[in-house]
Amino acid sequence: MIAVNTTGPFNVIKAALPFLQAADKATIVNIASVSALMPMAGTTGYSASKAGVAMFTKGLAFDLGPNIRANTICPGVVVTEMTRYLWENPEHTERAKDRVALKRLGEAEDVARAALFFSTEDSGFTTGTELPVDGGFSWR
Amino acid sequence: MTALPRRKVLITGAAGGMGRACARMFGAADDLVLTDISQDRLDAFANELRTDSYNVAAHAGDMSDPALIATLVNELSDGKPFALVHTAGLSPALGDWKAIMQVNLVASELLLNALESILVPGSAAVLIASSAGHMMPPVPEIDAVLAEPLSDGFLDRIEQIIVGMSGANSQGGMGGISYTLSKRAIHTLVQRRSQTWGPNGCRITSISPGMIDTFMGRSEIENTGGAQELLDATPAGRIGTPMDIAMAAHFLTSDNASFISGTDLLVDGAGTYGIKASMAAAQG
Repeated sequence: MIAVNTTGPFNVIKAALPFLQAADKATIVNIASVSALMPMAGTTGYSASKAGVAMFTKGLAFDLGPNIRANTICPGVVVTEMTRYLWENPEHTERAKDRVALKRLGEAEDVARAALFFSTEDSGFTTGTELPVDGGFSWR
Repeated sequence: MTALPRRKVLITGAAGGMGRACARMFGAADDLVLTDISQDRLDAFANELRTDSYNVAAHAGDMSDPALIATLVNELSDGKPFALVHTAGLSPALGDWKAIMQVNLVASELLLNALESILVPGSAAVLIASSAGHMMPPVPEIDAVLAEPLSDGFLDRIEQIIVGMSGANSQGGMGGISYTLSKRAIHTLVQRRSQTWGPNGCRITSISPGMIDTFMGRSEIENTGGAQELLDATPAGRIGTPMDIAMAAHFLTSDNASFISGTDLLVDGAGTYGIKASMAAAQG
């Protein structure tokens, strides 16, 4: 969990750093999870790995700014292969939807659009922050 | 560019720095309903926009006036989804603690209550909070008081809280603490309302600007020490612009943010964490 979710982004950014620094302006967008913001039973390792990437990204904003901005998206339950176990089971799906203010699961496009926002000058004064894309989790 | 149906967008504090930028940003594709406390400034700005072919309705007044709220609600009551960008507010340099709480929190609560009756699926609101709202740790007892701004004796309870926090002796004085409390209250209000708006397909978020180059921001830099400190501690290395806020507000009220609700977005150049780090360093 830590190797993929936390060390993975570290390795990618380390490799990309010369290119990011050579650019006039660059942005980094990491994908964490709402689990980075709130603990949930049974997700200790996952939550720790995602909280790690969120704080790693926050640190990057300080260490690599101002030319490089770095932000984290914290998705809630999004319909992907990773959550197949959940959305294939109608009971689990209903429970997951019920925890979300908008009463639906997220789509990959919801996360992509937030990533686009953070990748452009539309978010030019935002760095070192987390944005939940979770439909409004009641317990966040 | 995708052609989208024009929405109506209500912008409060429309003649202020952020309001003006939001009006120009949204008004390119939406019909504007503008309000501001200053009749003269609002009229001048609305006329400027109309000359540039923007579609504008403008109603000046005090947000605590029920007649003004009714007029604004009426403007948005066409049964279609609308957007709200609520920028009206007072900073510590522009009012006493009571006025700050009245404008920043009580008036916001009244406006949202009124708008709830005409919410249509797809409607979205963004409230301008402040990085100051992130400067205090959550205190459940204080949050409970801030959650009921229309209750009897609300301002008395707030005064007790501010005095209890040694308000008069702190750097920002009573007004500074009132400002922080009022903006913290916007964060929690957005969380709460997102839960009731969500099942109806409506979203509500807030933006917490850091130091922004507006009349209000410049007043803070000139009159309070904390504002310059915040700017100096901002890792982005610059002051924010009103257009930075307008672009974030535009994103949050657009379909691109259709799965984002009940959250705050810092548009602060990481200054909130920067100032906390420099305060910690100063304390050794």
